Amino acid sequence: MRKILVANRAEIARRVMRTARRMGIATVAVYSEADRHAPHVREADEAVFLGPSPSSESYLVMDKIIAAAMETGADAIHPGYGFLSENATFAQKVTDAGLIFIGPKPHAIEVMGNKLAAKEAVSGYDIPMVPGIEESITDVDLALKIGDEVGYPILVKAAAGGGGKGMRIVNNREELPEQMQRAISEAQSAFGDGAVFIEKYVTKPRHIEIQVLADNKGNTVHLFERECSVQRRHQKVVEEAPSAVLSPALRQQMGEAAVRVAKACDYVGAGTVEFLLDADHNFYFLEMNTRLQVEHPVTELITGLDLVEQQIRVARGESLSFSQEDLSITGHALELRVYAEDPLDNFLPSIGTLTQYELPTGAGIRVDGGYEQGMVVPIYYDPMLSKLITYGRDRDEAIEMMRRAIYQYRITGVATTLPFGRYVCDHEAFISGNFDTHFVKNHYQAEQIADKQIAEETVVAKLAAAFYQQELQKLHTPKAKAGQWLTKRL
Amino acid sequence: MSKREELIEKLAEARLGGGQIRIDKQHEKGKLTAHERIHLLLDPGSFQEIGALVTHRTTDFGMENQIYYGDGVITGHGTISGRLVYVFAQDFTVFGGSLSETQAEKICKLMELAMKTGAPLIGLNDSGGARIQEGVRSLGGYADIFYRNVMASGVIPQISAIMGPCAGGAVYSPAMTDFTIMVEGTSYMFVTGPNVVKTVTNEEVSSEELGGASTHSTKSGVTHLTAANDLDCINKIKQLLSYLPQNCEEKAASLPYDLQTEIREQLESIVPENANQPYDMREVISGIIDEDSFFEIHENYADNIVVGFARLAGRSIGVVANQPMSLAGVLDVESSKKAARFTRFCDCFNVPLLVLVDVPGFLPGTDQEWNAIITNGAKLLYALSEATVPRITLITRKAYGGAYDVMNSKHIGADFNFAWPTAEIAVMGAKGASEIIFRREIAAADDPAAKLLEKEAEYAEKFANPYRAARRGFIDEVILPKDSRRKLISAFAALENKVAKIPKKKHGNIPL
Amino acid sequence: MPSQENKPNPSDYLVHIGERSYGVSEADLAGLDLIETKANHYHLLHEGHGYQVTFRGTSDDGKRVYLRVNERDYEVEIADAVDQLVQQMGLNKLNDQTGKDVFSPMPGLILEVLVSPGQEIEAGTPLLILEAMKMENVIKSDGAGTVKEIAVAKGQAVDKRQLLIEIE
Repeated sequence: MRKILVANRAEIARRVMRTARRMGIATVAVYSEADRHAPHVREADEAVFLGPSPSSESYLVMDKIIAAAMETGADAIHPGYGFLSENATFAQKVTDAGLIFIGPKPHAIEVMGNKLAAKEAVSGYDIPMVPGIEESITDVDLALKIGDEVGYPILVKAAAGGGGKGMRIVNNREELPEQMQRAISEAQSAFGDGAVFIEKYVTKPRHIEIQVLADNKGNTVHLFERECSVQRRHQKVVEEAPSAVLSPALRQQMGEAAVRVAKACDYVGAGTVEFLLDADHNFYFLEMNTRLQVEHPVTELITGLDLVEQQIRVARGESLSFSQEDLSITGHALELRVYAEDPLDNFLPSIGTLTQYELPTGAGIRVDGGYEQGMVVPIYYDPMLSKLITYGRDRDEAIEMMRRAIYQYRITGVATTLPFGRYVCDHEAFISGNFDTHFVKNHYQAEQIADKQIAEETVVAKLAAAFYQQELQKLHTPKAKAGQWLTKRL
Repeated sequence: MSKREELIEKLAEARLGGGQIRIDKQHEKGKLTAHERIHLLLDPGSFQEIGALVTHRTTDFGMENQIYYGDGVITGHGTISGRLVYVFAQDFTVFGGSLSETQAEKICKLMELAMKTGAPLIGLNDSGGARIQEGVRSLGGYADIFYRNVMASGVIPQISAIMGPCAGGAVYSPAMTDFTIMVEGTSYMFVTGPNVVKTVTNEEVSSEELGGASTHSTKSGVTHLTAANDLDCINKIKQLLSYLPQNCEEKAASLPYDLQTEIREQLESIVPENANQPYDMREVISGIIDEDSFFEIHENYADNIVVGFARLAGRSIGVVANQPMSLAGVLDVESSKKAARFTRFCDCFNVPLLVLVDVPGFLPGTDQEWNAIITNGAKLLYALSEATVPRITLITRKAYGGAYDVMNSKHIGADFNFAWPTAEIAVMGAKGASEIIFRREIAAADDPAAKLLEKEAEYAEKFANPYRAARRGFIDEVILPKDSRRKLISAFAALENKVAKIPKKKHGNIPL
Repeated sequence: MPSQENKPNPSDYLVHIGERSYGVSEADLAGLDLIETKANHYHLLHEGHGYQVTFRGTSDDGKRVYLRVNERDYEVEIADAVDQLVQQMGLNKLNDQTGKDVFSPMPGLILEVLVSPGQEIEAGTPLLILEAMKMENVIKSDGAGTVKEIAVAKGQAVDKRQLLIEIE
């Protein structure tokens, strides 16, 4: 492998290129109209223009990307995350074009991309699933029976459903008949179909995922877990590794389950198996992500491995150079996704020009980003500016470093999730490790961030007024230039 | 009370003008007080008041019991963007800002300082008129001011803002300054008010209709500028001042500017194919000058000519341009006067002139002739001819007849004359010319209409272009529209140190 | 119009930082424990907390103050008593032609126009869907009225504060 085309943009494109360069592999960037000035274009050895800014006309056009690879003589394509990274057709097309797709085989992408197919694929591998039924029912007696089996609370949801309609959380057996009737009638009137599914309702769920790595020779290892429970809009904002709540035994159990999931689909390369962990530390398989995750840096920091390097080595046909026993966790890593979003206004996108953009620096601080001062955050793509990652000897140290790094990170021009990150780091629930995916709902109060800013700004206001007054009280006389008035009038 | 405390108390009293109740009334009318206006006009902390403790000397009608420090006007100096200016602001809260002998003395003292030091004078007028209790002493005060206005004219820029009433004799001071700006809704100017008008001529008219900002900006042209309110007025004064020098011996400051290619493609598509189709000359102006730098004077008066200040590569220039959108850009009585006055101002204060020409001639008719289009047209001819500042002409389309001569032609002393390929420089339009030249031939033809068209085409082919004039050197260069800005920037740069003198005389006799 | 009661105390300042404003009185300033450590560098003790302060100058008109407080840059606008009066009197607004017209709150793509000219709308009526960074934002009406003109088309990219819909 001598040259890699990175079919992506911003931070992940730069991230992949960084490792490629270190490995002596040339890089090709692709870009849309909006990204001509982006650093990932400048930092690549070559760059190919794809088309207009909307991703449907640029980063998602498979044939253009493959043509770009052929044209530049690249022999492999790294898809990054998002865009075409989990598109089996793309993986197939790349392979058909005689290029190496740095990722799993199309088959694995396809199976894990479909919830039912994924469930079926792993069914013989002793993977715990959220208990429930596979088919839809309307019979209350049958529902009662299932409820007894899976244990309360349970979730009754319309088979044809969506948007929370026809969905009921049932806390005990007595409530079930009435709640189910209501769910059925709601579903009937909303969707014309009253059938419902029943499954166990996981209270206080935590989102824990396991990084796996597999080579072509049948070797599969896991690189421990990442805790991604702090989310807004079902999207992760703060991630960490290791989790504050996993015991070594549970870690091993989940890791082994993840390896089995990977084996179930003949997985090759780096992948992530996502689990829900309930309050009693039961874990249930959710899905598998067949790509490099946004939050992979925290795993890199605690294992000392470069995941992109591992992806490239596997794609080159090399065997893993280590076994599960060689791997261990050192230290603690924390990641904050810095989005151009306003945490004081429901995390709505905040678009604009980065008039001030200064990154924090120092040992244990890593920033994977794709933006620079003066750049405009384009409207066409994900609003993530960067990932701020800190690494410490233990969790407390990592959190403290994150606080300091957030303080040093200076962004003006757009609102960002930095103040939210600060809020999380200061919150007792997060510090103690006692939180779940409802963190934002249960603990986050935008007003508190606002209050803090107001307190700071009140002091700034007084200082500013003091300086204003100080300047005003100075004597001001005309800035006299040697005009011609005097000489000509003499 | 210690002597120190006494002073502090006096100054505090002076600061309050006519008292809080009257200040509140002023605010209720949407007007700011004199102190507030000066505060907004000048750089923070730069104002130095002169004569805060002056009081009137009148003893009639119980006036001796009504003494206010300052006597209804605040005078002093300060800076605007670091430049020295002298300012007076009449204080309506003190005797309605009425002009007393002492008030006039304060203003005159300020005017003399401004003249001696070569600094602009800005007057913020807000006065009910003469201090009637003082009789002729007040009238004398006015005349003292008028006289100094005239002495200062052409020496320092004088700007008058009308921010309240300005009636009777008071109007003649602003009239003799260089620029007048009126605030809409709260200001009016007239020699005699609606009551007297009704008695004398039986006309029913409101103050606003008789002499409000909109009347004087559209009908009479008495005001050069209007402002939506006090703040807008003050901002416009600052903006206007930025184009002007301190005095007649200096040049306006240039803004820093980095030259690029200075090609403006948008200029290519402004003049329509059809010569009879109008277009907006303001588009040509904005296509040539620095972005958003046009500061138009007399925007709504005589709109067949456009005048105003602009910046060209940072340099302050005056623009005079025929406006084909209005009356085909013809010269008439009002447009000639408007352009002549602006031209003379630019010449007084060393502001180079750019003249954009698209003119079909002078407006015919009894109305024009009886209103002395001859004398008034001559004003523009005179003003341009005597101007010694750098003068550049660009003909975009028509330059017909006598109007060609008037509009800054080579013959009356323009330094550079440019024309676009669309220019038609001729005695008159092709149709009119053919009718005269080929009168007999056309009359004798079987089909006179066809013959006329044929001859018209022949004439147009020969004369409706800039090349005859270019051959004679009346036009220095025929240029592509997109290159206009390039050419003009470089031409003005080449004229930077122009020295031109008119014969020594007491003063010329412009046809007034 | 301002009455005597709400007239600003002439020693008061209204300080604008971003979208927020703070009133600062003369007394506040007198109480500041601010010492100069070297030219333009200061240390403030305020309610027991220490602040490292650098004064970085003002704009030409003096109304903007640039300063750095605890490593953070601030650009602050000061409204003095007259500025506040001007604001109260509405003199800083030249004309009110904005009315109830709908402007784009952020740059984005018009995904869908949900109303048509002549349509009567109420407060909260969804007017159009604006996509920005993969998020669909429903722009709703602030008040009741009639749609006069729709200034944008489906698929069009718009800038922040661009006119979207005119409402009568």
